[in-house]
Amino acid sequence: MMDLDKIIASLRDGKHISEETVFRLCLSSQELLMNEGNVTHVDTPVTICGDIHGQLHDLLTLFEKSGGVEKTRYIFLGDFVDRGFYSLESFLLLLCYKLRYPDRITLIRGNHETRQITKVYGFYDEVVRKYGNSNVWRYCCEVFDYLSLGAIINNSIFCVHGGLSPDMTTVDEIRTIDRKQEVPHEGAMCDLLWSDPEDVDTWSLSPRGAGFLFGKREVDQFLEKNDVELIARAHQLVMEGYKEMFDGGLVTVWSAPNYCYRCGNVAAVLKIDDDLNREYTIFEAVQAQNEVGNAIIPTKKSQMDYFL
Amino acid sequence: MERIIQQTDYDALSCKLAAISVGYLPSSVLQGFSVDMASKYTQWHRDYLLTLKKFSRRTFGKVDKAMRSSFPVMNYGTYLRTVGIDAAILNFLDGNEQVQVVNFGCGSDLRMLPLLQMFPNLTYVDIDYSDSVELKNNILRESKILRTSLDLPEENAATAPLLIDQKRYKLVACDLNNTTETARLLDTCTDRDIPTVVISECLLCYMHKDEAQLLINTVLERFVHGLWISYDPIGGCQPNDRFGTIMQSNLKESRNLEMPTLMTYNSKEKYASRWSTAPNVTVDDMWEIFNAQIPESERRRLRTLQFLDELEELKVMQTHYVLMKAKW
Repeated sequence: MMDLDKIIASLRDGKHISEETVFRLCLSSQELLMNEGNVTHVDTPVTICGDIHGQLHDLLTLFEKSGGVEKTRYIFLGDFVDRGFYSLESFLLLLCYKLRYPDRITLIRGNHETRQITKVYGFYDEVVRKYGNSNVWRYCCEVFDYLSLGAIINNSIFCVHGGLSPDMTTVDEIRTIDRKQEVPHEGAMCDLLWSDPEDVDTWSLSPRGAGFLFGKREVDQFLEKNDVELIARAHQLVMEGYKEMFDGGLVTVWSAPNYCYRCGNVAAVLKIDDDLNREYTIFEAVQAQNEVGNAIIPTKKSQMDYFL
Repeated sequence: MERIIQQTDYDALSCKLAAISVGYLPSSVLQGFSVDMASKYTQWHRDYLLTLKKFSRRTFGKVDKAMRSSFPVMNYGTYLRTVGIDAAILNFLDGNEQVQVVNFGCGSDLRMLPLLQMFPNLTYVDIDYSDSVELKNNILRESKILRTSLDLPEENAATAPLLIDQKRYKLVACDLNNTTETARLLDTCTDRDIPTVVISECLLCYMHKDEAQLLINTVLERFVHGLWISYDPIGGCQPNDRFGTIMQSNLKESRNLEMPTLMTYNSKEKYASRWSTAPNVTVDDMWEIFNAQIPESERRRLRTLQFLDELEELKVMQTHYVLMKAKW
């Protein structure tokens, strides 16, 4: 039996976690996630969180500003890893919370929770840098394959990382996907993780190279067909932390402040109460300082951040 | 400070090599390359990197590593800055019989190689800090492919500040903060009556206000006709825009690099105001260039290269870089 509280404390301090511990965490997580549906049912009140991207100290701020997992129920909309310096710690912390408080936290898969994307966007390199080999990355990727594709709050709010798919227009259809695999390059599973809302008349090609752009018409049809009132998604940087679109039928929530340590944006989480009222909490990036509070010194970044 | 600024050349080089290795560059459409020239372009850059290894293993290691871990958002930006400048040069070259190009702060930039071959009447002057041009000189002479393309002798007979002094290509050591010296070398290397393209790609952002203005004024007065193409970051001027201040503090903290006028010329208009004596000045941010000047066929090609994980981030970054064209 793992001492989860001890591992959580270590993770919060940004301390190294042994490969063996990661392996066991990942194995237990898979057992737990395996039992969840593609679209998990969640009750109110619940706090919806967007992209984290390895910004561990900002994730800690998020918990601090929104009540903490001991008192609050959370849905994370994916993109736990890549780009930031602490992808591993951020993902493991969420897994530990999931194991420790299974009904308080729902984890949805983002487009970065795949082998292919993490090899390009930093998580793979981070693991190799921290462990000298890629085993830990492989264990985490196996967990990625078991993450849910969406969640539904009180049968009224549909949560997903990216957006809608032209191939599947009902939640029931989404439930039929065989999700336990690497995210394909096309098809409904890919679209749910990659698509974006946009001011378009109909389904359009996405400039990202995967998924689709969808407009108000597609959102209205989805809401009506599935008898829900809101689509809550993440996936796109919003400088103000959140953005409602299409007469409030869709919201983007972004939870990585000062994204990539350079974008200068604020972050937000969205609390849904029992009457389905929406309450946004905005928070800023913490200044990284040595061993003060939740602030941790970022590792030296070899990456070029700017055009020089 | 000089060394810190000079080292930014390795960032530019890494970025360009990364964009080439993934296939963003070359862009035959926007750089006007034949199939043969496109393959040469790739080969020249690869060979430059391999030859760099012989002169500084440490620099090679840094460049090589950075090149391998470049994010798609950076590759897009490198693509935009490269084709943006190249398209502007081509446009001017196509409209004039005889042209000279002066590349201020050239670093390891190799755009003279295709241009000299594509335009037989072109002369080209590369100018930068002596450390930068010495390394470039060594590499150009050491590599057989590069040497041959410039028709350059292997032995190094030239003397500073003209490290390469050919009829059509000159490589010149000069601190561009020293306007007197710069003017003197321009007298030696260029002809004031020939239409002149001046390039400053991430050069002015490292200079202080007065030095930069003096350089601009000197050049605008010196050449009878010309086109100045300048690419730089701007700090941003919207009330909640923190990009510039974060950039300054990140660069200061991580490498003690300063951009003294980033917040002074924080908008497109303020940036371009320094060329106000030129009759025809246009300035676009790189996001506008991406949306208005990159043909759909090219954007489709880019989409197939890598998944772009975050379009908004690309927008945030590219709205903080500008391409200014001043024609006189």
